[in-house]
Amino acid sequence: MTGQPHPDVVLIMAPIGADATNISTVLRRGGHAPKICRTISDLDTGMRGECGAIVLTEETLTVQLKPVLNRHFEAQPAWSDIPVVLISSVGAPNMGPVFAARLRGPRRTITLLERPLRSVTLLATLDTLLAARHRQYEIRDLLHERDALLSSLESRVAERTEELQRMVEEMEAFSYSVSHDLRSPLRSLAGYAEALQEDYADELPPGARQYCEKIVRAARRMDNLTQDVLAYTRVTRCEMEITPIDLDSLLNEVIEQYPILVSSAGSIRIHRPLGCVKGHVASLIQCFSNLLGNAVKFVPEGKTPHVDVRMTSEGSRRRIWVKDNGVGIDQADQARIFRMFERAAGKKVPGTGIGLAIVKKAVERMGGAVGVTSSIGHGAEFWIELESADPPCANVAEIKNPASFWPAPSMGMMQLPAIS
Amino acid sequence: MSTERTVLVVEDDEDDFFLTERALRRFTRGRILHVESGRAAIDYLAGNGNFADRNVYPLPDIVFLDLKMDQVSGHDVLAAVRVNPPGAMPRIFVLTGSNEPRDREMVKDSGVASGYVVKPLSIEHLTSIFGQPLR
Repeated sequence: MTGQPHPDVVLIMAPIGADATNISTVLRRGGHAPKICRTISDLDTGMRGECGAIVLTEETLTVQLKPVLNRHFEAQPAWSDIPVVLISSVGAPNMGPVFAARLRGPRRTITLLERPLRSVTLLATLDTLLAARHRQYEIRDLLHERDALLSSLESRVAERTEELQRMVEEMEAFSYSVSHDLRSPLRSLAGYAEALQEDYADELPPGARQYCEKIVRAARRMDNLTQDVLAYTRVTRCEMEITPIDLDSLLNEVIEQYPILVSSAGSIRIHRPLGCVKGHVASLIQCFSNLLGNAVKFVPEGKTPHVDVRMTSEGSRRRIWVKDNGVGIDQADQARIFRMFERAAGKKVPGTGIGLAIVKKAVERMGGAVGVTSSIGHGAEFWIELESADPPCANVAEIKNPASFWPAPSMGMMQLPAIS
Repeated sequence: MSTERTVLVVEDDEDDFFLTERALRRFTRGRILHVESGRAAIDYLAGNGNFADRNVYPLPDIVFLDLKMDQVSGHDVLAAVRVNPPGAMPRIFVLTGSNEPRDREMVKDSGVASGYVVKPLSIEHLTSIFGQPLR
């Protein structure tokens, strides 16, 4: 559209006598580029191209011409307002003003010139109209510039998005590689140390067996750490499909699936019904296994763990409480323990310090909140608050298809026992 | 009979194979066969080339399949088995270091695996597959 060769072409349609030739001559002398249209079809073609203005004599305004003109007027782009000069007929009856009135409408500029017409008048009128037409071209060019800028912005945004996407993919490949390659030698380390203990039990002095145990434990700790860091990055970036979840079946699933919890299942009491909440199944399983795992873990020596799980309604939300009879958490430590690598317990109780950070991150991404009330020596009560959902909601056991042998992803701070 | 099941282990890591075989020995008196690549696993199960001799290379009852192997991965093996299933279909368990949900989903979607086990192979895993340990 920009940079057309003849933007100032003036279309002339004047069927009677020498009108067309005379007008054309005057315009050419005035430095314009006139083009005579003999037929309506000529005018139609001319208007399809770029034309600066149109000069018509009154006689041309026939029933056949008007729809053609109207069509072109209406098809104009937003910036365009093509000027028309209408020259009245010779003598009476002079219908010029009437025709001009009929042609007028939105986005059409009709200038009526009456005969006798002097060349200077015609030229002056066209100069003015073409100057206005030039302003329209300038607006058109500005609009094109704006569009070009917008589309270049769009392509830059697309480029950036693609770049980010690539970075995310690289991060995923990295964490996959961490999950696989970093853990593989740890597994060998623990495996061989165990094999040494078992296959050469008779030949190893007690001190050597103890060292083997230490190797196994250290390798396990490192393995748990990498697993937990991965679990944390997973809840940070995974897509969280929020669905209504039946907490009663979810808790069953968690307790059945994790050996540490199965062995203490007798001491976990669930005050049913817990009801339904809106959440992400895999992340919520992770959260509850971390909380329950903690609840049975932090008991003083010689004490049997007792865990109570109950639910309270808080408006449109449900709060699930996990209460233990463990060592308790000092007021000063209660905010800190939800952060990465922060632990309230000393080194005596094994753990990575990531489990609660996983819970907090996951619950917040599900639109919920977490918290704890506790005091030293009186156990702790952790809670998770989520938007409640109306039953019926999907039974977790059905979602997870328990018929087949699909051990769930291993949990933050737990792992399946090794061969002993 | 159940104590003599033939097991094929598809594993490219020497240490992992040693530890897997050691664990398996407590559960089966049958043959424990080993191939070290996804390519060899596909050929073995399809009976291609040397593997056509089923006296030497019997079809296994159970396959433990590693996922991350060079060139032909465990996922590729599952895809090949789906397209061209062996005469007697073994139970295939993926045995991998990967705990990524993506891998788990892909294995599940293949429709030909009986289970997904994250290494190491534990007593609990083996008991649920073979029943009680020997002796």
